[in-house]
Amino acid sequence: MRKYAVIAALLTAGVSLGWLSARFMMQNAAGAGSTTDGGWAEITLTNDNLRSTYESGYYLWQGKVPPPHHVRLFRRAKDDEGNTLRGDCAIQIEGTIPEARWWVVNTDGASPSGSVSAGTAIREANGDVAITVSQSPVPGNWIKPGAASSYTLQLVLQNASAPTGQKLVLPAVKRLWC
Amino acid sequence: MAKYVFWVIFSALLGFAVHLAYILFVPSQKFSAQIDATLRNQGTNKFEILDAKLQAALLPFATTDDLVGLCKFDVSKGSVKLAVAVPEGYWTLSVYTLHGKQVYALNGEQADTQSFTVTLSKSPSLMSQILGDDADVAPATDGDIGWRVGLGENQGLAFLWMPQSDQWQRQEAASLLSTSSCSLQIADGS
Repeated sequence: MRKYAVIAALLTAGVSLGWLSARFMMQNAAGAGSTTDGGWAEITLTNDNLRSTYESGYYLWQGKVPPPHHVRLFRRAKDDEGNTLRGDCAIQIEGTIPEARWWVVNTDGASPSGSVSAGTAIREANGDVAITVSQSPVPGNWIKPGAASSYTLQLVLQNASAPTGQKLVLPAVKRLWC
Repeated sequence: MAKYVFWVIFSALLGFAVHLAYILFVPSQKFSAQIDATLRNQGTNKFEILDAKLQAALLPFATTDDLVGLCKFDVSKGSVKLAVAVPEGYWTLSVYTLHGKQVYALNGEQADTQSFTVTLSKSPSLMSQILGDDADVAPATDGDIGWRVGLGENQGLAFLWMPQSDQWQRQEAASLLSTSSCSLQIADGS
């Protein structure tokens, strides 16, 4: 009798671990990304590699359409000092946005957020942008994050001049206040 | 303990199989069911401009200012012709299967025209149909400026996305894009 109980426990453990590891890896794939550039993780979706299956699974699971292959999508859940991005804190994204046909910065959280795009951004004289993400409005480029306690920042480059895989210098993300 | 070695290895292999099966099938099935529910009011083989909030919820790269046209297509009864008129500016057309796999993409620079057609049909290739591979693409043959796209699956979604700076620009662009159409072309021999 004990033998059968051990076998049943082993099989249950195998199935549970397989299921849980799949859920965990899928949930974290879009945050881990393929490559990282100064805290930003790039999501590279193609139809021909296993990592993409996890990354696109992240979107499919939420009923969202995975970003098209020509999009270079960068995500991060922490600022430059390693603090988790939280809805009750203010951060600033500052620096140069890489050359692309179009770009947008927004947040990916439980509820929809605002965004700043190539068409709406107010730029510095040298072409750099400074975007504040905070609950209360601030002058200049401002994004209100969703109500979630934590969120992920997204930078989407449409038809970037630099091809996928080429390293890019991406803007810094600094905490302003909490 | 040695008597359980077989069952330990068997359980590990079973776990691996569950992991793979989950990753390969569950998200795409869930996506298909969720899309059916989300787009239940969108007609099949009909071109429609999406509501701003719906597009931002559906497309992780789109904002509420952008303009997104959608054709939810079904090529099981014949080809579906997408006749698109776009305003000047950057745009992309992305075709996905109903399981969320991108099979075709076109952008304004590649098309180099503001009026074109894309004819979607079932791929004649049996391997494409079985594997759900990328689309077979060829130039249009019916005198239109455009492309013919053979698909591995019957149903899918074609998104025409155009970034806009504000709601006023969005409305302007929407008036031209709304003249686009998506229609079933060829009856299935019956």
